[in-house]
Amino acid sequence: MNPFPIDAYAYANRLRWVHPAEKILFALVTVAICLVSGSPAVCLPALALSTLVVTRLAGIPPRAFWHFLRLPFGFIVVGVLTLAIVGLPAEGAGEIVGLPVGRWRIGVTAESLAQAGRVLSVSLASVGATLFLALTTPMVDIADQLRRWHVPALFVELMLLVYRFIFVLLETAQAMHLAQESRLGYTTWRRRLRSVGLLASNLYLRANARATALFTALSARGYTGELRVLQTQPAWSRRHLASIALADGLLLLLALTVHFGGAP
Amino acid sequence: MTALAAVGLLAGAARPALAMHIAEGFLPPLWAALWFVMAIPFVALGLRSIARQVQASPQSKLTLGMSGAFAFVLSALKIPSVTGSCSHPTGVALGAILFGPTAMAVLGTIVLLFQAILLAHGGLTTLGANVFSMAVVGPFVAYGLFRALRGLGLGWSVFLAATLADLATYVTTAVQLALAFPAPDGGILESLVKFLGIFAITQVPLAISEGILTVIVFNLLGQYNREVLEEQGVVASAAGRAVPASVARTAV
Repeated sequence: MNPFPIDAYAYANRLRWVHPAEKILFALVTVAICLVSGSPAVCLPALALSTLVVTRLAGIPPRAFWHFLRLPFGFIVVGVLTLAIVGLPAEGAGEIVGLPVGRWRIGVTAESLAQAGRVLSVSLASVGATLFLALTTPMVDIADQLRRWHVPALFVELMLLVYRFIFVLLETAQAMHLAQESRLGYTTWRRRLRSVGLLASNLYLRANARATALFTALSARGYTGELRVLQTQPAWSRRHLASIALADGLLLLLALTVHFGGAP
Repeated sequence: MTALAAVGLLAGAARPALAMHIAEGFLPPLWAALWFVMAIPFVALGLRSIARQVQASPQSKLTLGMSGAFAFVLSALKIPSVTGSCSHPTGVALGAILFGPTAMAVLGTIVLLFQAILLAHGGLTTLGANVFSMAVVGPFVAYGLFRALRGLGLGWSVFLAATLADLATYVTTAVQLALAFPAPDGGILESLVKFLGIFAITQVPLAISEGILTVIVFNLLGQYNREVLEEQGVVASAAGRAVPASVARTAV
């Protein structure tokens, strides 16, 4: 079973065989519009757009999408709260709540609340658009596309090797973890730390040994430093490109209206 | 929804953790772009050094691939924090000392990219900022301190390198956030104090635990497979000197 639920959906969704460049384009353009506009009036429709595409077109259950959308919440919530609470000038100008802390006063002002709201909406919409890419496009397709876009071949090759080896090492690590857990390796703080240390050092040795064994095996089959795999490239679709242009065009129009129309 | 039930080790990765990965879309476009510009030279430098290594021995490509995967899996483990809760190690110092800081810039970039895509942890637009703090500042601080503090013995130099590298990463992230979001009244400084304060709650205990963990790992490697450390130039190959395991035993 795939230990990464997002990766599992990437291989089994209805947009799997859409050209990866189309999906990358849609995700990046949507994120760019949200970032540059920085307005909830643009970001919330953008989030709705990603949600619709992921759940309706890609066929990913809404509950799953909601679950993934909440993964980065920890950082976002803490970060946004930190933005909302500011030091207040001497006598409250536009403050909503104020609290004296020693010599200073901290609190929430209308302005800081608005900024926190803006950052929250931009962040959520961007996470939604990136999730669209992550949930519909397997890593191998993204890497292959990067190669076509002339990202250094060495970097792409390392990416693919790391991707493959993650699954191998994760399985090893899980077996070690289970063995330690069943021998009371995680009962106290000290034991836990020592067990993780044992696991990490053994895993490192295993990884090294695996790489050596793999090199021997590959050398026996004529490896000279390059791994070539056959990658099937889906066809570009005019219909998809037109839909992307329409959706992001509307979003851009909305962003321009908000910017020049003076809406929030 | 069995697919949603993350397995074993990754359970912690699925839980909202107060990690220091700046989330997708959190930085304004100009700052996001600036950190990409700052990070790319280091990654390019790393790629060049890796290319030379690969030219010298084709096996090193596979070894580096394994090392990157090791760094990713390491960051999915949970370590007990000194406050009792659990958090994820960054593996920054361990990687920097084992693989060198330039290679770590490349491997760290790949790990951060995978965390953004496979775990929705971090982001693509904030990748530059995260690479700069976690794959550039962290590893270079760790490696520099490790080399500079060798006189203190393996245990202390590893502990200080790992702990201070984590702290340097955390301070860098706080600076990145403060620069992007200066407070309306107190400016960048007030904002920096706020972000440093709020993330200190999780990051300072984590840095200490990670320091201890890294010492344990190096001692175990020294005890069971000293050749690995010698190959990587971590310890001198004069086999006579014993690894100061005593430091770790007193620490844990």
